[in-house]
Amino acid sequence: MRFYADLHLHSRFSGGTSQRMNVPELVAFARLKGLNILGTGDALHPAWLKELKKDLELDPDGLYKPKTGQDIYFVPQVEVATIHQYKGKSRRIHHVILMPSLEVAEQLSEMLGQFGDISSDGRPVLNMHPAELVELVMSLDSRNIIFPAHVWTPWWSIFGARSGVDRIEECYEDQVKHIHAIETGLSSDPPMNWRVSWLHHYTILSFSDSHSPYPFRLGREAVVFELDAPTYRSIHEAIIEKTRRNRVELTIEVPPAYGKYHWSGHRKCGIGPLPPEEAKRMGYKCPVCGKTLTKGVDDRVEELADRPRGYKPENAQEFIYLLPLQELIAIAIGLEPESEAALNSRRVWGIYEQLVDAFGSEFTVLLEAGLDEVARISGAEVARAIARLREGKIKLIPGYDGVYGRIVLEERDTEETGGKHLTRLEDYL
Amino acid sequence: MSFRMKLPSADYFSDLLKAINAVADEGTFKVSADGMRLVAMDPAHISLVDFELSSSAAEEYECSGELQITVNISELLKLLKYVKSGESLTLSYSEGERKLDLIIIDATGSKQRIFTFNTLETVEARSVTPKLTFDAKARISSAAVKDAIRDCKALSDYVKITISPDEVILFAKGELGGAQIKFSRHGAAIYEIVANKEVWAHFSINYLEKIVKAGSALSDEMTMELTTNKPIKLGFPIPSGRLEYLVAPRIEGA
Repeated sequence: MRFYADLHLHSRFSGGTSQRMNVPELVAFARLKGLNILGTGDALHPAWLKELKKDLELDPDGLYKPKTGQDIYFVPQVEVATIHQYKGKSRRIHHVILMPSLEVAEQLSEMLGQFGDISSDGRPVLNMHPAELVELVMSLDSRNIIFPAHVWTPWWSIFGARSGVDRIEECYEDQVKHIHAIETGLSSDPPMNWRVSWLHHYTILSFSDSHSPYPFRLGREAVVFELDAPTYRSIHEAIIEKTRRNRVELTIEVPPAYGKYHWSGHRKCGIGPLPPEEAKRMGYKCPVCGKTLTKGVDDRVEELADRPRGYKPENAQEFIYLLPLQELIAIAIGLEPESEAALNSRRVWGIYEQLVDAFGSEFTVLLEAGLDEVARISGAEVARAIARLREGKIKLIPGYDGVYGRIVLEERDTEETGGKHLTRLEDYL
Repeated sequence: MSFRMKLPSADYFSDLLKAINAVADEGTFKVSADGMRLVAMDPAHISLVDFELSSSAAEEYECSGELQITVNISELLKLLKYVKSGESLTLSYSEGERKLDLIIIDATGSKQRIFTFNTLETVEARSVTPKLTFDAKARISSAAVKDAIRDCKALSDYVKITISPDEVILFAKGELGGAQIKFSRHGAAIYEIVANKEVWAHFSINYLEKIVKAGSALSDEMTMELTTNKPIKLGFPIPSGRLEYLVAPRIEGA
């Protein structure tokens, strides 16, 4: 059976998150999106744990479900940050932990309380070595799963340009034996990771790290599991053992240029996005203020890669590119897809709901819906945007230094306006 | 250092902010004894607004030294959303406090609304104002241009603007058809054309629409300055001030 899972998200108890990150809203939006399994987010936070216990119950199959009865499963999940010193430099790294039960989460919360303030933020910052964290997590319950989060992001990631390291072993030391997966993050995709040969045996996971429940955030990246049953054991087997019976079928990825750190730049000075060769030529210094540029994920992969661009290993895990339907609708009807207000506007939601009503979920609309029917419901422009997404013809201006990439329906532009491209004022200096 | 300015019309200042907001959500006012100036671009660096208001536009104006006041314009506009005709506005700012105070007084002087608005940290941005010369200029009714853009938008996301010695043309082509709106130099909408040859460029309607809508609320007349396949300069004459925009074109092979 196929299950669409987003196992890395946050509750409203993490900093910078939507107040709507609660169980009923997560369930409602997950159903629209077409997700079947969600991480709970922030499962160590005492107040959120209390709420999870109130709203969820353990299904006989071994995953949690809302007491209100909807068919959305939850896996206890948390993202934690560790800070440790390595080679004279402070390293700040995020890790995702999946747990078999809320009781295990509660025990882990108690144990990790001695390394940081568990109740101040849903994503706690722990003053401990990542190896020590893994040892503790795995000694508590061997069914726990821990993996590094959004591994290439400049800030707070294992290979991050700012405070990461160059090898998984440098982070997890002898406890690397318990690491079986990596999360790619929005700004990288499987082909970028394939370029690093020593990552080949890790399961590639892609989740949203969502801070809000709206379907243009939740499930932006997701894993499609093939599971014999919706149980924690099956998920564990799929990620750790990768059997025929339980496996990652494919990952759903946004194009990496969509991510906020794909290329280099300095947002405050309006510098970026800079392709790797240009940023390198500048010595990764901002030409305006002289500060160090925020190095792009593309650049960082290039530094650590030992395979050429385009290399594909044997038995490479499958993936597909998708973009949030609301962003496609917004751009198709002439709104700015970068604006959250536009994505949440009545017009966009109106079209979105009509399509989801007709086809069952956003994933079905994007992947399977007949385009004639889409056009009949939502107009030709939306159908055309979906067609271009499926054909891989949507271009993006890459994200940089915290700025999301911008969607450009370039093929449409080329066809309809005789090969013209929008220029920027810098082009006329 | 501090700054204080009293404007007779809060409503008018709100329209000026909307005109800036057509391009930028955030901007830095450089304030001196002569007045205030703001140059800002949209995040994609496709359009730029250059706004200036002389101290003579104010009923009362005091500024000691030179100040930079960075504000979120969209948020500031929320405070001015319900201003009524006849209400005055006093803005004051003290560098130490980094807060902008707004006092709105109604026409009878009997009601005061006092707001305190947090300003943002000023970050020196690289200037990207292109140095441009233009081959053609047209003075034209801003309402007529607004309507023409509306018509073009019904069919396309992009518009081709042409200025020739005899006319100004807005042309759009989409899948459903095309639109062509011509303004003859002898017609009521055109006040002046200065052009020796025909020039043209394509622009995103999204950008032009916001600018012309906001600018036409401030001025019945506007100027378009253009060179083939170069940014267009749009100007809206305002009393004791300047409101100009640049919008980058779409060109082949960029």
